[in-house]
Amino acid sequence: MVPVAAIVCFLLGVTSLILLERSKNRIWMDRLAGYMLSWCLVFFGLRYAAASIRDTSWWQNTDITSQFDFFQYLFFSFTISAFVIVAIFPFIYPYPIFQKSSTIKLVAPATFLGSLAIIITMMLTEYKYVGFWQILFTPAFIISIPVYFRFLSEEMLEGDDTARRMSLAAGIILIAFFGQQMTWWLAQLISINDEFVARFAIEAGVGSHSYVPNWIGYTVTNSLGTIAILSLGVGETWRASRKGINGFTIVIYLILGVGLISGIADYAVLDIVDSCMYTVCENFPESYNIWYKFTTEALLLLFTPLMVMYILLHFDVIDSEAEQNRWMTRIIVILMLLIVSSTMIELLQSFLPVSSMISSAILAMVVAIFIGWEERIMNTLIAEGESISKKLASLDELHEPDISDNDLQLFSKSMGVLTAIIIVLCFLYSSIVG
Amino acid sequence: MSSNGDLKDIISNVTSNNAGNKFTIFSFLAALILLSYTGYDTVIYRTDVISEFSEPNEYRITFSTQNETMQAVETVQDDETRNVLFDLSDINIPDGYMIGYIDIIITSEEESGISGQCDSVAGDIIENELTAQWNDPNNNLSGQDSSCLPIELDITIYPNFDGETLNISAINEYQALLNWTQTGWGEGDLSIDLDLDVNAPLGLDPLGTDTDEEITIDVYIVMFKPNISQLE
Repeated sequence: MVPVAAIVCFLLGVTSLILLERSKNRIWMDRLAGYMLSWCLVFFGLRYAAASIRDTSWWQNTDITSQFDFFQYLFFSFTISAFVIVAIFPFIYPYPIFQKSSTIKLVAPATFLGSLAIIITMMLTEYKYVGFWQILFTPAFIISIPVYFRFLSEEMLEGDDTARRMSLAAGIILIAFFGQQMTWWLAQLISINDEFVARFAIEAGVGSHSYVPNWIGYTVTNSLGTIAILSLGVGETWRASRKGINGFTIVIYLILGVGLISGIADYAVLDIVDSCMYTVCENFPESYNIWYKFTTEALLLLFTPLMVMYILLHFDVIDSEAEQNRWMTRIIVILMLLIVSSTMIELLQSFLPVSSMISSAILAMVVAIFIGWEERIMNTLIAEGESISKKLASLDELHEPDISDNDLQLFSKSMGVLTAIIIVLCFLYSSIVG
Repeated sequence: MSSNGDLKDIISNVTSNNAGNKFTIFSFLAALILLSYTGYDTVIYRTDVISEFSEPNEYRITFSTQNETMQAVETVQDDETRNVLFDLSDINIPDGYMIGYIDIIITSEEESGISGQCDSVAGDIIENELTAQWNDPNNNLSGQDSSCLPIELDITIYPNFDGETLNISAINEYQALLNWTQTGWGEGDLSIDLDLDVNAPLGLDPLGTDTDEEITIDVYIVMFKPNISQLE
């Protein structure tokens, strides 16, 4: 799934950047959020590409003997860069906390310098504490939860139906950022994730350094992800009780269901988890691995990019109605859906006794559905587009500072430079240390 | 409401709905409670557990041994090859013990013939289904003698077992003993071929009195049980 995720993320990121360049009529908040999400996708794509190349037989047959190699450095560096964007993104979208031109102009240099500083520090400390930087997801929780509940309450209590777009955007962002941790909510609630964390540390070969910083990072994200999905569950249940179930409610209940089953499965395999500590590490049952492949991994690798795409298109971050953007948007939407569908079918085929003839037929049906419903899918995504910035402007809560196009494009340019620096730095450092 | 971008106004806007604030405060409190007890479990308790694995412990492994013997006495004719099988399942292996190696001593006693000259005796351990270390360099699978001395053969059954005390680094006792708790070794039959070639002075035995030999095979089965102690 990782190579597919690399293609999906990179393709979507690059296409979004192209579409953003053609959407100059968008307000500063939409454009900056678009750049940030697009570069986040590009960095995740490059991260997955580095991981995929490391797994190829070509790379494993080379004479690399050191613990870290060029692609390992790239993997960690792009991960850190994406995490720094994730940390700053909630200050811009869906409810911009930074609204003054001076702070908006700081976003690009802060992301650039913050990424570079953490990348270099981690490189010099051999990534012993890289897990700690998961705390960079904290702002997404602290900002998106109040935004979600404020606008959900306004919709439910004050009858403001347009407030839904704000709570929906905040909810989708929470799922996009904490999706993986949300599927472990029950395990975190009954506090058994620490046993998994300890097992993975022993499996990786416990070193003499302190694991405390990494474990702080894991605990914070797992806990925030757990509370985020439970909060969304409460909020969506409240909404569903009055307005009925919609697509987002179903997604929330699906994740809650997956987390419930995963928690029970995790509890069932605790003896295997603990075997590392008391006897010798036993392997997890195959069915347990398959379950996680189809839930947590699929959510993280395949559906998170789709959720980001949904934010970009549904909330009009990209001007998808413009004639010059429409064909490209259509191609990319259909392509993404097809890639994800075919990957899921291939995964199913890997353990179910389904002949390739049947799986090809299923894929053909999926293609037919996507082609037949292309107009409908696009209309759902684009025609009902609800701009977050327009909603905030209507509430008179969005400042329109004096920001030039160049100031906004600085983010994209600085991320381009950061990418080049990361590649050169990783190449040099891996050559010197390796 | 404000659109001047002041941080104070923005925070005031975000927290402007009382019902929303109640949900938010409840979520934040729940997050703090969850963080506190999962944080304790992960960061404090698990750090203690994992610290035992940060550096491997040193263990000393000694071996208690016990022997079992089997014997066969065969009268072998001149120029005959005789195969003798010892079924190792016939021996009594105490609880916790495993077969380490097997020593075989083949003795012949020259009695027949006028001269009493020693006959040529050869013994071979034949490789078969017996689960053993057939390629161990310490094995001695073949021997021959024509001076009435015993022939000694050896075969290692358990991998790397030589009875010597070992010091091992491992993260726990189980893993330290992992190489010494394997089962399945020493199952099958020990197969020994005996060859006899009668010797007479100057090659002459006119009365034909030296035509066979009584050969005794003593099989000493060395069994071991590992004992472990942690070195300080």
